[in-house]
Amino acid sequence: MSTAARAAIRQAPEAPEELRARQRRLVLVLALYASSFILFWWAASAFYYRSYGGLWADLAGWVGGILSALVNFEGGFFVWLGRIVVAILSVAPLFAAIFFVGMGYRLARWLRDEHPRPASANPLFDRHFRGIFSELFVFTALAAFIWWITGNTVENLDRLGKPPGFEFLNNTAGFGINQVLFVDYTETSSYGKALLVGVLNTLVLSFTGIVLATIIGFIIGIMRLSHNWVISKLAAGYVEFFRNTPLLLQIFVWYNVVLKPLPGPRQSLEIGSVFINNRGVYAPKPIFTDAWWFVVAAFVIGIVASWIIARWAHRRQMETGRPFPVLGAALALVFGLPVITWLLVSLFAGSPVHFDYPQLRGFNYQGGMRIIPEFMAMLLALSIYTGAFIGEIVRAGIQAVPHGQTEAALSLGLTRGQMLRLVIIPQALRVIIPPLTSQYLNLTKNSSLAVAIAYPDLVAVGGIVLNQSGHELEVIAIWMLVYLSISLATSAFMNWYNAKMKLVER
Amino acid sequence: MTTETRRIVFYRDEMLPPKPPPPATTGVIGWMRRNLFSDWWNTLLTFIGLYIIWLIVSWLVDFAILSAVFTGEDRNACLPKNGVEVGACWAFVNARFNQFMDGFYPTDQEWRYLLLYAVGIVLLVPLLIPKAPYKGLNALLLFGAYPLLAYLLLYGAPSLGLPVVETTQWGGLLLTLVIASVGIVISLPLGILFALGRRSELPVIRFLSIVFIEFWRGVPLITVLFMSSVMLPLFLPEDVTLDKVIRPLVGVALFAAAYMAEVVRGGLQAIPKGQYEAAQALGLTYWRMMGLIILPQALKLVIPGIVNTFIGLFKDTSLVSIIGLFDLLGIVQSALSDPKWSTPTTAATAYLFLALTYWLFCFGMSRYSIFMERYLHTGHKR
Repeated sequence: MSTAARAAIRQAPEAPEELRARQRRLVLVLALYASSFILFWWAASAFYYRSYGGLWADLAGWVGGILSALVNFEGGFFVWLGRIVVAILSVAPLFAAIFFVGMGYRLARWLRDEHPRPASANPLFDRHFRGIFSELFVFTALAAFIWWITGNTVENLDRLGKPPGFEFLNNTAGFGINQVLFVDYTETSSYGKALLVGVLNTLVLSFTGIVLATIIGFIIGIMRLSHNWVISKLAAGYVEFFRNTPLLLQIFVWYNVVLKPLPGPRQSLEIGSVFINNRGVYAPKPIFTDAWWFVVAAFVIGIVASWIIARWAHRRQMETGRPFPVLGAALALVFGLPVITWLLVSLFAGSPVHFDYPQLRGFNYQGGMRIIPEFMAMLLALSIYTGAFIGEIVRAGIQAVPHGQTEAALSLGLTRGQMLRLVIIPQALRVIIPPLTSQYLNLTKNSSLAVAIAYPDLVAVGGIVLNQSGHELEVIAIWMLVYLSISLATSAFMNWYNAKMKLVER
Repeated sequence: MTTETRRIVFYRDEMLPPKPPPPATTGVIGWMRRNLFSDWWNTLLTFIGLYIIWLIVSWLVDFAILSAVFTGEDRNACLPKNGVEVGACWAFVNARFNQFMDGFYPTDQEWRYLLLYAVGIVLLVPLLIPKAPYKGLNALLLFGAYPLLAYLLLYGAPSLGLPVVETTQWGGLLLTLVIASVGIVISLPLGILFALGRRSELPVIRFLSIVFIEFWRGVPLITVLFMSSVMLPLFLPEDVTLDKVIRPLVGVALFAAAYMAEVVRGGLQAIPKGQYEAAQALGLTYWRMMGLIILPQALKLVIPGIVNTFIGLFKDTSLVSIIGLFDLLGIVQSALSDPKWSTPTTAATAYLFLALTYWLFCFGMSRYSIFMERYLHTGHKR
């Protein structure tokens, strides 16, 4: 409706029934708004005072916590994380206030006759009014529910004598962890540090699992598409078996049936200088000298140089049509340069890397690098299980590229390799990547099943902390926050990658 | 020119009889030539594949049947004989079979859940067969009356002469089925509601739905289960105690609902806008438009996804064993620690039994979803 038309309507004298309808609407809106506002405010303030004393005190404590966490990293990370949770909860009334201002604006707009309607219409049958009404209703009901839960929780915690808060994370953990990577952890470290070790173990397991599952998945997917009947049925059998049994069962099988009955350290299976026994896999541990940095630098230079060459080759091909063997050059640079550097360094400064071999002393191996059996079981179970799902995704993705694309590529005179690399794979990847992302996330979340065989991931370590300290609420909040951040970060990265791949299509 | 040209005209009066195709491309041999032995690489792959299959099948047959022990009283039956390890210890599964099926359900009350299974099958099978009549009545009975019957039979009602069986005594396959079916029945409608909420025009409802869905999808089920078993009692007033089996049920149902919501949303997004507009032009209200026009088409599109979520839910029920419930996996796992049956092959046998049981349910569901998908694929049939 144009402004002029609306003005014309405004100036027209109002019929008495229209006036009454208008007044009725106004009263209804005001009553609704006021009642839900009061109800909400009552709920919110009760929620806020019953649980966390005061907003400003919290905010001050929070800022102090960040500063102290920055100064002293020991365990402080999770104290800080916990404070974010508290802060979000504390400013919940603020969000609610924003919500109510917005709702008031929408109701006012509705009252201002922006939608034409018959004068006698009951507002309860108006689509827009009903929308606003149901939103107010849902929001207020939810707030009341949260208020009820929080109140109960605070009362229960009071009764149990457990004040909520994340300060307990600074207490001494007092338990050992059998896989500590990247950080120093001892029994005298704090709970916070123990959780950090758990997070790192989760990340390491998920990352290696994702790499391995992708490899398995692509092999299985391609096998399923094979023209060879035996191979494709073999892959189908793999998928149907591993997809239709619980992952937890598979973890138990790998751990209890495959890895536990391995021989003891004295009868270890030997593959070169790698020893496999029921205490884990022992491998030589590389020890890098300072000269190793030259090799690393050569590797980085190789990557940068191949990137530059790729750009230059692309531009030259666009201008002149002359292709350049980028892949070969890049491989030569990325792998050749470090190898040459390695040889040169070895000639002049001695080998930049030497190995610490595991030695059998007494009943067990000492030295070297140990991979604990729990990790092996989790890695095998996760990657084989997820590989079955990825295999199906890869198959669907490749099948989604129409056959005409293959024919067109071949008729342009591309070789089979070029066809795969330039035509089929880019199009298949667009179909593959979104479900692949969710499989990666599933694998990361499934790594939490490690608690069943006591691989010290975040959930298993958190479980010990929970039992020792009795702070269920805080530990569970940390679990959820960490997994949520991993999930959101992964999906953000994959969305970015997905958007980049989409550009292939014009 | 025409006179000079000696036109040599040659033609047949009748068609040549069709030649048979070369024998190497038809029949079994031709098929094998094309699919198994087309070149040396393919032949090599075929033999490697056959060898792998032979390894698996021969191991399985030997372990599960040929050298397996079927009867016995205790571990002595399954210990290595004359230094030769025996295969699967089916005697163990046999001895514990009752426990695997129902946990610690009183033996004289077993008829109750068996009757419940029977009624369930009688109600479920006609519902799953597309051509069977009285779908409405059938669904009403299954989703309305059956849960009530299940409660009365499983938990008991002293006034009807059925002694109470506490949920702590439930276990095994019975508990797995209870958790899975309650989860399935709750998560589908809840998931549809959240999917509609996420596609809603109302900003607050949409926002809340997104937060709910993304939260549950972002955390692992095991933390949800810990939360429901540890935190749920904290959330409730002091005098309310939730049953130990109901707690994880809440977690499982909400968790599955979030995944269901995303599946249903995929279906909703695939429905062309014209369908919505047509429904509105007919003057249908929101709920009628959704119930009569949009959802029937959307749900039909995402049946594979829904069944996949069901399968996932069924497999995920095994996680309740971690929080101390004795579902099928939990009870087998606890039976394995019994020294009376401790032999080298007990664990492998029990896990084989578990794998087969879970696999039967999940594979059955996936086959049914493929069948339904083909059956409902009416729009594009040529």
